[in-house]
Amino acid sequence: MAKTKIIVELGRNILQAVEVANRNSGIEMIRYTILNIPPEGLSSEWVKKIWEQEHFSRNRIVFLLPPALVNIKTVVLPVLPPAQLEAAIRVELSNSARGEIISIIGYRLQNNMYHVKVALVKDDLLRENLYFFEEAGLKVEWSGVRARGIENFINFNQDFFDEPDEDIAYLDITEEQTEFGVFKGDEILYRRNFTPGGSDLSEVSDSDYNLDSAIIADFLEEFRLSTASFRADFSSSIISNKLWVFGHVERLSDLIPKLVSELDYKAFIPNKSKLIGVLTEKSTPQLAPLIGLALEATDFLQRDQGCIYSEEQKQTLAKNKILLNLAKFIIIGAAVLAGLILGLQAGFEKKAKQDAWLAGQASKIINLQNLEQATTKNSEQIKELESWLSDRDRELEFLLVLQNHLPTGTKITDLVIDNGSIKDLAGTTPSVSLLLEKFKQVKELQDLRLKGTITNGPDGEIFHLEGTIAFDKNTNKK
Amino acid sequence: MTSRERNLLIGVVAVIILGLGYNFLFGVFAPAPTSTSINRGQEVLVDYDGAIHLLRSAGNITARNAVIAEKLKILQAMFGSKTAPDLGAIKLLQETEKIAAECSLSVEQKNIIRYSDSLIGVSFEGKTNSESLLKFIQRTTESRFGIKVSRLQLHALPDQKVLNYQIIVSGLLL
Repeated sequence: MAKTKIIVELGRNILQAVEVANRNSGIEMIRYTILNIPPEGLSSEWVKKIWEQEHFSRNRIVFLLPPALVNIKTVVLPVLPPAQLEAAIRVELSNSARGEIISIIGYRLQNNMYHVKVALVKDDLLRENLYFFEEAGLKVEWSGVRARGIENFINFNQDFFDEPDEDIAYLDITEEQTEFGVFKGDEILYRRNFTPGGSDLSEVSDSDYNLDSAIIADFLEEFRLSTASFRADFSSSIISNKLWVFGHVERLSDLIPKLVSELDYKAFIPNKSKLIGVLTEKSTPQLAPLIGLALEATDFLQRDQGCIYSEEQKQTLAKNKILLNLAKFIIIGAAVLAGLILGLQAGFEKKAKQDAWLAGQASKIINLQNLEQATTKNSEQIKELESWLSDRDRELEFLLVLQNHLPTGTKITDLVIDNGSIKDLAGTTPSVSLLLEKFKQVKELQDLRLKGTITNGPDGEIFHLEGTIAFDKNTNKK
Repeated sequence: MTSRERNLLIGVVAVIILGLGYNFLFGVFAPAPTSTSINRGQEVLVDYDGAIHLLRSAGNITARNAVIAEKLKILQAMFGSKTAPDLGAIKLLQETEKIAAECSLSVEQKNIIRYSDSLIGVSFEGKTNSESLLKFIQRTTESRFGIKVSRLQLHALPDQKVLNYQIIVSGLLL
């Protein structure tokens, strides 16, 4: 969506306003107006009427400060971060700028020091203007200075006018005064205000052009002084002899070129710009500062400093910021709480559905559980039976092993086996010790031990053994 | 602390507090494990996930039950029944007599022993040779009935070249 801003300037005799939109296709001049203030004087009702007549789309504006309201100073400070720089400026100017709003409009590095351009605006005078606009139904968002607007305008249109990459000099002729300035890129190198202004020069222009007139002489002298002062401070700076001329110069279009040529400058009064939409033509130099500020206001140009707020506006902005943060917090908190409540509610609904579903499936579930229990019980029973059957061939294995491992000459006379336990294994053998030694080497017989005494008989030593059959169920499964 | 760091810290703390709060709320207000009961008063405690798992496994449970039941049936057929202990004893006697006849085991005395409600035995006594005896014991282990030798008592008579034996074969009643 296009961002639209309206810039308004209130001169001594003129009201001018531009409405500019930042669209995808470019910066568009939607409408502009330049009106003389009526003889009966400026009133908020008149401004309100004009606003409706000119069909401006919004009631929120940016105010271009008249030169009389602004005092621009240069403060030299060491190189500091932006926040500290601002604090240092306030400390530096705290005594000399009482009751004034201090706003940094630009700074540049020179000889390892910051040369900071500071705009000082009397708060009570600014407030008067703001209240005036409020009575006319308009709300001032912020205020800006002419030099800033001119700088933005020239930078925006530089390639349009095929401007070389040099320091750019300009003359800004307002009703009350004239400003000579030089800037390079975003840096204002030099500024100087002097009189006469546009009103005085218009009187000369209306009559016959006369270089000897006092007004002309003053103008040339001040202009010469300004350029000389600039060259003294910035000897290495190269400016072309092309001098941009802005301000109320419609009636001075013949006079100004002649005047500046006296100092070997060539006046350039722009009659067009890169803006699409309504063409400003002859009104371009007059509207240039407003157009330049509009470029910032519509976010076409991003600049950190230069917006001037009254103390009341600053307090309102701070309050609005707190309210906005509070509103964000409340909205986020409400959303989170709503989410929690909905989550819990969903949990309860889910449980209710699950309960209802479970109730319907109860009989199936019970059957399956019973089936599982039956299966478990049957499995245990199978294990018991298989375990009972697993040692069926225990006695047979024992007898076969015994038969195969009897030493020569050994005869078994008695054998009693009861549930895997050898109650008595009696017989005769040439040597009971050899017999026992041999049995120890056989796994199934190694648990047999001597019972009672060994006696001698006619066929050898008579022995009685007892023990258990060492039967491994796992290895003897068939 | 830069504004970005501050915002990040606020975000992390907020997430932690919200997480703890949610867990607390969930723990206090969360639904209890589901239970269901049927008309016969039999209460089955099962949660939703358990029920889903059970129903999904219905096929496996049924199949496993069938296999186990079949296997148990086969095993149970090898034994007598507690409900008809006399019949069980008779079958045991008949089987051991058959085996003894096949193995040419000479039997002078027979006896049926009731150890308990679930265990019965048949006692044979007599004189025989070792070959017949071993054969008898082997055939016992191979019988289709679930019987096994529980007691064996031998006394050699070297003059007669026979063994005086007493053997008890037992079987379970199920």
